[in-house]
Amino acid sequence: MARTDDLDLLQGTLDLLVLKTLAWGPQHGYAVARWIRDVSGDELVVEDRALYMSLHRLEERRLVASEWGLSENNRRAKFYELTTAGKKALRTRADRWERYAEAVYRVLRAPRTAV
Amino acid sequence: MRRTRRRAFSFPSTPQRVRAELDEELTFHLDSRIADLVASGLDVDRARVQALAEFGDLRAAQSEIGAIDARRARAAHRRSRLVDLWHDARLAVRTLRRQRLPAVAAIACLALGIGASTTVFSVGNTMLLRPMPFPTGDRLVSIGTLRPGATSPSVASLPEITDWRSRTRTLSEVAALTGANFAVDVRGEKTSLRGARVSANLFRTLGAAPLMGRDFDAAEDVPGAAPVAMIGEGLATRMFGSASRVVGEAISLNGRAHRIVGVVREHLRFPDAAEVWVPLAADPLREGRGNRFLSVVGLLAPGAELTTAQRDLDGIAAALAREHPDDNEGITVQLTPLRDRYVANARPAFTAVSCAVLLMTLIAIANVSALQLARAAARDREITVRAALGASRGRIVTQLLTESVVLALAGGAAGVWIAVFGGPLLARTIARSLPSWMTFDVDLTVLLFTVVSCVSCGILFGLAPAWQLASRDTATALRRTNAPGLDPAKQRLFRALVVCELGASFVLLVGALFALHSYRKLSQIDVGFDAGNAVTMRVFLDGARYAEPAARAQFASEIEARLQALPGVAAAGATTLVPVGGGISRFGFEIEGRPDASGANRPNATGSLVTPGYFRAIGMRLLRGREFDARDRAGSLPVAVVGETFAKTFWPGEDAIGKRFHLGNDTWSIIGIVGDIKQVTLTDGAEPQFYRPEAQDPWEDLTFVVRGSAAAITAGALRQVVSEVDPALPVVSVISVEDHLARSRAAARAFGGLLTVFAVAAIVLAWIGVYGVSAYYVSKRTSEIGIRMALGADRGRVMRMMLRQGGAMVLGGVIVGGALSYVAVTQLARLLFDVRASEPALYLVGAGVIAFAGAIAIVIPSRRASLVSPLVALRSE
Repeated sequence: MARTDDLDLLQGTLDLLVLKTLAWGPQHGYAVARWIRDVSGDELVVEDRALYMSLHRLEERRLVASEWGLSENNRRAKFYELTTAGKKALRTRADRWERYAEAVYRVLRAPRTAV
Repeated sequence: MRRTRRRAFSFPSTPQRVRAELDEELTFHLDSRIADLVASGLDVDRARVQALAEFGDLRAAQSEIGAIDARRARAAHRRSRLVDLWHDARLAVRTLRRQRLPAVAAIACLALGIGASTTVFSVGNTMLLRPMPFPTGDRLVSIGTLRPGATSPSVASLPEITDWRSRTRTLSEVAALTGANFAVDVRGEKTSLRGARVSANLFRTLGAAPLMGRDFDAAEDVPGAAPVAMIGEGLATRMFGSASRVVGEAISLNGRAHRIVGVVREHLRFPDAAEVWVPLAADPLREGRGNRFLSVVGLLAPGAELTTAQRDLDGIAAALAREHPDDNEGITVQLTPLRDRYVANARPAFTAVSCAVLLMTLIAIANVSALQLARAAARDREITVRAALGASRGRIVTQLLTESVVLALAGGAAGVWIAVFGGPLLARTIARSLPSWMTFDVDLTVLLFTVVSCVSCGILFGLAPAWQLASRDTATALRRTNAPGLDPAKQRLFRALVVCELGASFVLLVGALFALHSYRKLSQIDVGFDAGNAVTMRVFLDGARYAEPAARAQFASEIEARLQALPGVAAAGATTLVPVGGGISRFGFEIEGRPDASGANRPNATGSLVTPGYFRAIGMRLLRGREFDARDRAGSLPVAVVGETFAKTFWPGEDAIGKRFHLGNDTWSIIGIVGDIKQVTLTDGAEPQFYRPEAQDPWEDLTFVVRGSAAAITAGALRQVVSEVDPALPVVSVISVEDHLARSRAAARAFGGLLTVFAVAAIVLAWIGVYGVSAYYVSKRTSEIGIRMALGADRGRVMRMMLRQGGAMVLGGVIVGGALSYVAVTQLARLLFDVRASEPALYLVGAGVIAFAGAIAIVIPSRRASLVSPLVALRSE
């Protein structure tokens, strides 16, 4: 159920969020979805399909690695964790995103001055 | 969260498994979401609907994510295959190190074969495949004139070239050049450098932009213009330190100062080995239409092809023949791609050498094949156990092949070394001179060829044993290892290998014998003069001080007199044209009383100018009449001495002495007849030659010939004589006549030598192969021999039996080889001087050597086998 004023996420941003989520430790896909939803206060609605696309693509690019394990209720689940390359990618991308956001913010909040 | 350590996509992964894992993951997600929704109060069905809606298009997800996973699985699969290959390679190296001797033998064989092949390829690559260093390379053509009956195009005259240039519609540039020697002072040392006089558009035609400065203007290409020159990069560095400061400097060429206007890049020196270029500056008034001495290079216009250009020039030649029948009747024009002009004479020899190398490589591969077969048989048990433990046939074959390829790569690495040194050596061998802008180095293409041939070799000789081994079923294989003897298939294979190896080495041996035979004949040609105890010394009388003919004549006679006065000197003289390779110098003339002949039928002959002492100095025979002497000088009656063929050709049945012919502005009377000499190459047929006194037409370029005892005619003594007369004059070179002749035979000698090397290598290889095979063969039959001997056969009988079988193989090899070599020699005979394919003595010698070698290779192991005691033999299995 999508809310009309939900913020749609761009693909690259989703990758960034997934990487960040996994920074706290290995998780399975459902946990990642849940965590993003909770922490963003339900503001960010991630289509699950997009999330799994993101996870698998990140794995193809060797930024995350997967293993099969047991979930908290003893069911078989696929866990993802960051690789060394992934950690570095997270730092780079987070940094870039923050600079981007801040620049946009500056332009939006700037007073009207002579050009 | 507990995790068990199991990687996703564990090996082996199949597409079904990959798909199943994805489904399991997505199912887990949906189930978890449903569970959470139910926990927060929804009923199961509504929860399911919501969960699915939140997920998005499930089917699309499965296919898209499935594709990603499939890609990943394939990549992982490829990586694991590479890891396997690496693993196999390391295993192969370990195995080979344990059995060092056969491995080393195999690597040596392969190094020889692959090294030789790579050498030949690198030469061929440069000669035939690589683009020429000139930017316009493939559009360049060499243009020459053809007399009727001539087979190869020759030089042209200035008016002719001017006409071609102005009338052609298919050539955008026509450039002319002629080689020249320049006496140059390089940092105080007077030397002679090779160079050329070129038309102003030559470098433009070649597309060879100068490194520094510019090339010649049209204004500089006229007689009387201020002297300018271009020099090569190497020379610029030698003379001035670096090429950048050279433009505008002066350089003294043949005594005259020239201003340097440009520097030619090192690898674009054209023609061969030229270092100095000056404008042609030919005077169209002086250079008549019949005076041909220029080489011509043309550039095809855009859109024109060789065939259209040829037709175009055929038309122009026909027009010229009509307009100037005296000089051009019957003369046609031939265009050849520039590359061909340089490699054409090398191509047949190259083909011959390539075939020889191919044969040798095949022998090498056969050897290694046999080696591998023998080794593989010894590893029967190991392989069958592996198969029993579950290794697939493909895996085993791959592993065995990897071993072969590793072996081949090791051999190839050694072979590349051979190629690095062999390349230039081979190039010098197959052609008298390939131009200096053809460099032979091991470049990327050659290395690629080496790697490819290594891998192919490895697969070639590894395939048969590998397949055979891997295809047996386990039970019989395990049982078979205990059975004595060889299976019939292997026996046939071995026998075939032996016959082929012997045959191939026979062919090579016969080829080498023919080449050597031809060289011997070449060495025994009567050149028409006495090459022993004589030395040549070349001087160049530079323009300024020797502009007057009188000065030149005076110089020549003074030097001749002083040389004759040296103690120990028997005779001395000078000529403008050294025999055997001194060059071509043909003149057209009219015989007195026979003015009708014109165009192609005009009499022409090779002519040179000599001093009175020349004939005796060079050792030519005077047949009739007299030689030149002091009476024959400027102003006196113009006289000539002619060769025997000249006399017979133009005055058959009559005495030529007293006859006259018109040349230039004079009429020359014949006063003597000498024997013929070989003028251009050793293999020339008899051709008309004539000589005139140097004093009556003195030239700048003289070669003195001095005959005497070795102690008297040293280079120092000769140079001393020259410097006494004129200290500033450079002496170009002092070479003994013997050396001069040896140079002309050098290519033939090198060719014979090369083939001999190949033949010897082939025989050695074949011998090793036959010996190895026989030894192995015999060892496998030891128990059989033991049984025979226990049953009463004596040693002699055993031995005779083995010899009979071995002898059959040797005979087979000789017969097969003999037939093949006859075919090969008929082709080879075209390359060699004066050999016919049927010279039985050579075949017999070859057969004898091969049979002898083969016999020894078989006798030794057989004898050893017959000496073994029956008890040992029976127990050995």
